[in-house]
Amino acid sequence: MMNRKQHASKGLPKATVIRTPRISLRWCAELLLGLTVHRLNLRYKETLLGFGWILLQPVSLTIIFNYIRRIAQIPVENVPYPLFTATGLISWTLTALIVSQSVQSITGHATLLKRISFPKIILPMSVLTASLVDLGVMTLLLIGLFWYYKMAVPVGAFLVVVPLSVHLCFLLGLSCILSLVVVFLRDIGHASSALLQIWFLASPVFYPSSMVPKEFALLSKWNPMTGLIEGYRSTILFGQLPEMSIFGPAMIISFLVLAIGLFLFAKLEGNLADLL
Amino acid sequence: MAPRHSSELIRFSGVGKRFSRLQGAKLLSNWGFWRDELGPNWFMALDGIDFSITTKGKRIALIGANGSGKTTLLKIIAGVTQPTYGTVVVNGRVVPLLELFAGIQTDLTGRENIYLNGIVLGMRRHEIESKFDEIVAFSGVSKFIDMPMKHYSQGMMMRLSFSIASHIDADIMLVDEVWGVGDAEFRKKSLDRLEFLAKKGLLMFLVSHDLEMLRRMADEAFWLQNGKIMLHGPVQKVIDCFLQKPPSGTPAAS
Repeated sequence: MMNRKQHASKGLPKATVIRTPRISLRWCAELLLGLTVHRLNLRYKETLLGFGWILLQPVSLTIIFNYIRRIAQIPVENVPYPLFTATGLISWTLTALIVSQSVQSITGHATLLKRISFPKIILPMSVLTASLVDLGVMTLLLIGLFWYYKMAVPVGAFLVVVPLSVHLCFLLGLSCILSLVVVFLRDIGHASSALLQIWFLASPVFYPSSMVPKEFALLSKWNPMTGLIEGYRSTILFGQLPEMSIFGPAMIISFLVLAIGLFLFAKLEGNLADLL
Repeated sequence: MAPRHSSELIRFSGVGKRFSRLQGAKLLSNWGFWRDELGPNWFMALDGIDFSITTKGKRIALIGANGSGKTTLLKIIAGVTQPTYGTVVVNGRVVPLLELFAGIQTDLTGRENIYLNGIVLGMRRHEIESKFDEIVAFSGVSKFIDMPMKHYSQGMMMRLSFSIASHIDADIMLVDEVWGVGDAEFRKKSLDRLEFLAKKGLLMFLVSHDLEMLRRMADEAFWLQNGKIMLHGPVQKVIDCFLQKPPSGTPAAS
C-alpha cells in the first residue's frame, strides 16, 4: 500500500508513510467475504428459525397493513394491496437493517482496527454485503405473493436494478457516515432505532406517495426512500422506469450521501484506530 | 519512490506521534485535531524517532518503561496508526502479533477461526488451505478443531492463534509479549518457532518486560523513554545500561 498523509504544515513537519507490498485487491475481497460470512454466522447460527427471522417481520407487517388499510381506506391502483406493501416493506427493511447494523460496524470491530491495517471501508461494506443475503431471502415473500395472486412478473421487472443500484449507493454512503459518527457520538446508536421508526412512517411503505398531503409534499419529495420505494414499485409491479419527478430527488440525495460518506472515510480512515 | 528505498526494510526518520487527551465528542472541540498545533490537550507518544534497518533476520528488542512508546512504535510499523510527522518506510509484509486473542471469534469453530484469522492477518485463502494441516499440527489442538472456540481453554486459544500467526510468510514480525501465557511446553515450542523464523530471515521486533528472555532471544535492542530512543545497540549492552538507569529517572546522556 502506498499511503501518504500530508498535513498542512503549521509548526509541525508533514508525515509520509511509504509501504511497498501494496494491499492486494483480491485480499480485500477475501477479507470482505470472510467478514460477511462471519456476520451472517453470528446472526443465524444457533437460532431456531435461521433465515426465517428475516422473513418474519415483512410477512407479519404485510398482514397487519392489510388490516389497517381497511380502516384507513388507502387507495391502490390495479395491484393487490399486499403486493404493494411488500415491495415497500422489503426495500424499507433493507434500509432499516443497514442503519441498525452500521452504527456498530466500526465500534464493534475495534480490535480488528487496532490490530491490522486494511481499507477501513470494508467494515461498512460488509454490512451491506451481508444484508444483500437478507434481501435475497426477502424476495421469497415477493415471489410467493406473485404466485398467490396468479400475477405474471412484468417483462420490465429487470429494470429493478436501477432503483436497487441507487439504493445501494445511498446505503453505502449512509453506512459510512453512521459508522463514523458513532465513533464520536456513541449515543447515536441508541437514537437510531427511534429515528428509524419516524422515518418508516414518513416513507410511503404502506401508502402511495401520491396520497401525501400538500403540506408535507416537500418533505416527502426529498426523503430518498420515497423515490426509491416508488422506483421499486413501478419496476417490479409494472415493469416501467420510475418517473423522474419522483425518482430524481432520491438519486440526487443518494449520490450526495455517498460522496459525503466516502469523503469522510478518506479523511478519517488513518486516525480511526486512535479514536476508538 | 519505492526503488530508492528498496534496500531498507524499515526506515524511520524524525517520526512523531501525537495523541489527544480528549475522547469522543470532546475530541471535536480539540481544535488542533484539524490543525497541527501542540496544545495542552495533546501529548507526544513518540517524538523524533530515527532508525533504519537493512539486514534481514535480526531480532530487535524494544525495552522501556510502560508508556514509553514501544507499542505505538509497533503500531506504526504495522500500519494500524499513522505518524503525525516524519517519514516511515516499510518494505515487506508485516505480521502483527499484537493482542494475540483479538482476532479470535469465540462463536466460530477452530477451523473457521483459522480461515477468518488467517485472512485478517493478511494470508490469502489458498495459502491458508495449503498450510492448514501444518497450523493444526503445530497448535496441538487437532482433536478440538471442529468445536466452537468458546469451549476452548485459554491455553488452547493461545496455541491456535500463535500457530496461525507464526505460519504466515512475512518479512517483518511484531511480537508483543506473546509468550506471557501458555504452558512450559508450548512456551518453549513457540520460542523455538520464533528462533527458526529469525534464521529464515524474518526481521522481528520483540517487546517484553522479561529482560532475561530478551537477552537470549534478541540481537539488538532499542531503549525507549518518553517517546525517544535513548540507546540503540547490542542487546547485552543496552539492557545493562537500562538496568543501571532506573526507567523513572531523568533522561541520561548516552
